[in-house]
Amino acid sequence: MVVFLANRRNLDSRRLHDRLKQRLESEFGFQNVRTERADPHSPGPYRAVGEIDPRVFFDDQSSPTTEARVEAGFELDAPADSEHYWINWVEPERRLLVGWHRDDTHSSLGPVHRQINNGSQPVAHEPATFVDSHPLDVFLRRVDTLPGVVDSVQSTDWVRDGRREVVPEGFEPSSLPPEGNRIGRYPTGLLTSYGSAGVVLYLANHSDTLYPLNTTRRPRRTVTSAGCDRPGVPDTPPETDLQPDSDPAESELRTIGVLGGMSPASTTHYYERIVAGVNDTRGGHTSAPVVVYSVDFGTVAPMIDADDWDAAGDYLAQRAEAVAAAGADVLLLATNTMHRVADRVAAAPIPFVHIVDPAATAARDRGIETVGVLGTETTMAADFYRDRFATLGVDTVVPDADAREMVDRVIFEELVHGEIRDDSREQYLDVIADLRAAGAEAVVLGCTEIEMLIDSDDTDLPVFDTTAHHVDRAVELCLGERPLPE
Amino acid sequence: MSETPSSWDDLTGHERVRAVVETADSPMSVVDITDRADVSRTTADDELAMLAERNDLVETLVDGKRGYETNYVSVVFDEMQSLVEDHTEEELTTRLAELEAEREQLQTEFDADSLDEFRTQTAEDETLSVEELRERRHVAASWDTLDAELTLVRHALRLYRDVVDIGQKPSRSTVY
Repeated sequence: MVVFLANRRNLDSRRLHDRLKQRLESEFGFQNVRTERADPHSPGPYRAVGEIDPRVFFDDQSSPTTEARVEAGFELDAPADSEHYWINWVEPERRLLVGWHRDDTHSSLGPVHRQINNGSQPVAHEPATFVDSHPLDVFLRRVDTLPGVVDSVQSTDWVRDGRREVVPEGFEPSSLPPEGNRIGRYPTGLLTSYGSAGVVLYLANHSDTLYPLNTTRRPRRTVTSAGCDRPGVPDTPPETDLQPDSDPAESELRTIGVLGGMSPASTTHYYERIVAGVNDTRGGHTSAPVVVYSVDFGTVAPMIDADDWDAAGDYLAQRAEAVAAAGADVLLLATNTMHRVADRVAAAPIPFVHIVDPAATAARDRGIETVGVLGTETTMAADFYRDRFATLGVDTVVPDADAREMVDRVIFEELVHGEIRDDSREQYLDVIADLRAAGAEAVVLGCTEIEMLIDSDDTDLPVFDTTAHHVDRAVELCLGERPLPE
Repeated sequence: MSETPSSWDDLTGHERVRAVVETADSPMSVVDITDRADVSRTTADDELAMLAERNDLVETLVDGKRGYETNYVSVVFDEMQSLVEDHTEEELTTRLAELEAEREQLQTEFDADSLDEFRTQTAEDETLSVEELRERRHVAASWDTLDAELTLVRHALRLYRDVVDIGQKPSRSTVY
């Protein structure tokens, strides 16, 4: 078969509109959703269309009509620096269209304008806030604010004969409908035929209240610790947090020390991610300088089993000094569980990054006050995790004893062997539900292996993977994007 | 109607990464994808690796940095696959006829046999107003989309027959 690749942007566009269609259905409850090709005389290639009862959508039984649809179209290859789009709310019975249009018309109103139509006839325009973001984000925000915008379409008298034309502020008076044109039917009788006592629809100016958005493009994230896939609170930390105290020259990178081997798989994960993360930024053959001390876990494990944390602390503290002596600028302990002796390891003569800190900082920056912790029994039950979060102003809750036993067992009997079981995932999700009921606003994955079983797609709670945040912090430190910890 | 505000931040990081790469008009570096999707490097890496494993993306270099671009061959096959799986042969045939009728309508309306001819006409006609030029741009874009869909449906129909000819019910595993 000969594969044709006619217009790749057509394929992108089709796929985007399919995504919008899916969102209309899954997120907003629209029905009869579809992707349609736009009318040849209309702009943009496709429209994502969905139908809904306004009384349901607005949760308002007084809505004057029961049928409405949203039509959303984006033109990815618009002759502009960002996509053109047309997102319309249409009530056929009232002949009402309210929508946001970003195109090359009405340029005097700015990059985006809102428009009201009586049928196909535009009757009013006003400037709208420009949302400089991904098309999917623009779409979601616009649809989400539709109730407020449509509600603001109000009626007012328009005495045509007396030439008293009530035109909302900011609208173009020249675009009023022609005399005799019918506006629509309105059960209250307010909206009657267009004539001596007709009606003009207008939009209240909600630019400031509906879109209090900083419409500039998101700043480049030099801090990635907030990337835990969470809606809500803006996650870019204060700019002052981002200023490095010593920015290595382009060719200079800090050397990252990794005290690992507990387990070796986890250490490999750290090494690979740090090297890849630095290369992603610098490109070429750039590779993070890393000193790895992979201890004999066969020596450490019996100390854990014997609850001899002093011995474990001594052992790791000696190896931490070796990492510093090998030239590392900063030290990471590549295991959650062994952070129980973090104080001993942190005594090494180089700065130490505690595994909790990046995730806790990310949670705090998102306004999260309580997190639920999943990890090994040691991590969940011991004070060191809870206290460290508390230091950064974040409370922790952990599963009850039975659930902790199950979580621990799945880690050691399944996940460390690479075994992923659906029934275990279900059990974990039940535990997460219990943590939520106990006040958790987010889940902390305090064990490298758990990310094999649970990720942010499995729960609508924000997920903070301590290992991922720890590694990201190492990359930032290596690149000089952050000051070294004290 | 959802009770919570819907926005980019409501999507998972994985969803944001997918959205960014699906609308990229050129290969993007991992760093740029990470920034645009507003996710951690780890999340971006995970999702991009998964999409590459699924053949949706192809790894490449962008200004010497690791990056990804859409695997359009895979996209085309996915589209055809959906058409084959979601429609009967009769439905596809009907759809093909509808699309051809639409194209004939454009050919008649603008007295042009092809999109290229229409574009040439537009470029050479100095009497067109700004408004008319704008509308013709819309028509050209629509015509382009129409041609692409026609080709896609034709290929899907051929695929459908080929698959049926060898005695297998079309399924995802038989398309590749």
